[in-house]
Amino acid sequence: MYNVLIVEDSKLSRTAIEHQLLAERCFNIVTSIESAANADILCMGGNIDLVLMDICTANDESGLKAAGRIKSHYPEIKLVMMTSMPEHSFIQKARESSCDSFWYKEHSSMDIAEVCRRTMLGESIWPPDSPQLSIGAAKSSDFTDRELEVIRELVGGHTYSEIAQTLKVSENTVKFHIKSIMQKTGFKNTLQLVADVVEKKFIMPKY
Amino acid sequence: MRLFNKDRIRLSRAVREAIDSYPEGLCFSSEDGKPILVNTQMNRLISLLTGHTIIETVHLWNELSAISETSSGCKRITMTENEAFDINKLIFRYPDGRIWRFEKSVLQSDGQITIQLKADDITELTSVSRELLKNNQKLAAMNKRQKALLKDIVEINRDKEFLAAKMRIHDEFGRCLVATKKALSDHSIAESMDMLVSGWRSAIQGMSVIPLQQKETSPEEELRKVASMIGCRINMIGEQPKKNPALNLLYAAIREGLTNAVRHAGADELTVELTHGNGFCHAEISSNGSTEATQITEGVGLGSLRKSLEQEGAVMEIKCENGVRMIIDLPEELSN
Repeated sequence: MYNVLIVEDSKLSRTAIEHQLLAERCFNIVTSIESAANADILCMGGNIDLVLMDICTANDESGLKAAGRIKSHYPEIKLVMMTSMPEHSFIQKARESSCDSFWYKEHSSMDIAEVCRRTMLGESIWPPDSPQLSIGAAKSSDFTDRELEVIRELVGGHTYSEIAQTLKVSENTVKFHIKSIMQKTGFKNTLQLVADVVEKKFIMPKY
Repeated sequence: MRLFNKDRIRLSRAVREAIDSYPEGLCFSSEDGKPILVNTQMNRLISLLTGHTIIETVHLWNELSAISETSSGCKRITMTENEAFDINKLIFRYPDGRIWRFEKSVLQSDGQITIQLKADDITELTSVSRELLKNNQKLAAMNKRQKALLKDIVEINRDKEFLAAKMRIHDEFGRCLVATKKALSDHSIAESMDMLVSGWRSAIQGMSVIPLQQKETSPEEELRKVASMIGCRINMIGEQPKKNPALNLLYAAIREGLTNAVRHAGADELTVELTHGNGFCHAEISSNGSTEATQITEGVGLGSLRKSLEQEGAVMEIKCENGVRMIIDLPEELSN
């Protein structure tokens, strides 16, 4: 029997996940909470085998950050990261936080109970990539890593010179990347780009 | 034969009760439009639109598609100005202000076709989608609005998850209906009884776990619960900051105090004393744990907390006199 902690701020998703896991009979749900900020405190209790962690949790607390804290203090606890957001960097960030598996709530072919069961048996279940989106005329996979960094900075409301400082490049290089992004997307200005990116949850800088 | 009839009546009653207790509108019909099962909500909604209950569904959909406004006060609307037209989806605003989305789909199983009409109450979703559109327009005028929009996105997504779950329940009803219809037409109801009852129970159970509303998070309630689960009680004395950025920072500090008090000092009681004055909230966090510590080396947790506090103009001091005490002065008005 595996002891599970669920971190999920949507009551609906939480209840559905609890039902699916309890039907498996090999999971015992210790508790479910809404904020990732409280997850590592509960892990201190020493009776958690598996944490199911949503990325965007109550009060904007990041499940990715909480996962990093949990894995650094309690590496033996298995951690399954889950989200319904198509943000392109979430899979990479979850890998960097040493999560064991990753589950898209709406896009996965495997149900959460199976992901949990296989994770507890030592497997790592990861989707090959984040869901494909259209950003203007471009597909989300059309952007280079550098272009994605530039878009992320634009979403944060930063000026070209601030972006240049953060990315340690010249302002002309920033302009070059932005021109390339505009050509790919067909947008007339960066505000259209930012509005589309934010609306589609392609980039969520808080997390 | 008597057993067969009894089972059939039991199943029929269970199906009818399940469908009628479902809060959204549901209608299943054969391919030629003959209704198989319609719940009371769907009949009520259709009556308000057309003046009659459902007699058949093929012409009904054409009739609904032709409506722009009815004498009963119902009005056809679109979610947003830019929404793509879909002939299988219709949205109406009812006189009571509720907005219902009607959707037609085809269910197939073992070569049998069933037409499903469903009506979802999307009043809240419409409202947040319009808010999103407005926010996008504001975004074009002002970059600073982006932060607020990001928050809205998370909330809107929660509403969309809620709607998606309701739609999954509809589909489960549809699958049960097709299986039941097949068992009836094959005269295999007795053999399939266990499977059918289990399917309908699962659909009903799925429906019952849909919460009627999404509860707001109470940080205090959850923190107290978490503390209690690791064997520590939180004593809160004084009034907490009223606004969220300051309140969130206070809770971050309490969490850090709680973690350290339990992990390093073996505490089972944490006290948070709060006073207010000169635009600041003064917080002192202490515990009943070991009093041996004379000096604290700030690790990742405390260091990260100090950084978050100082970014907002707050001041943190750690005192090691007769136990560890965390003292924080938080500006009451913080930028969001």
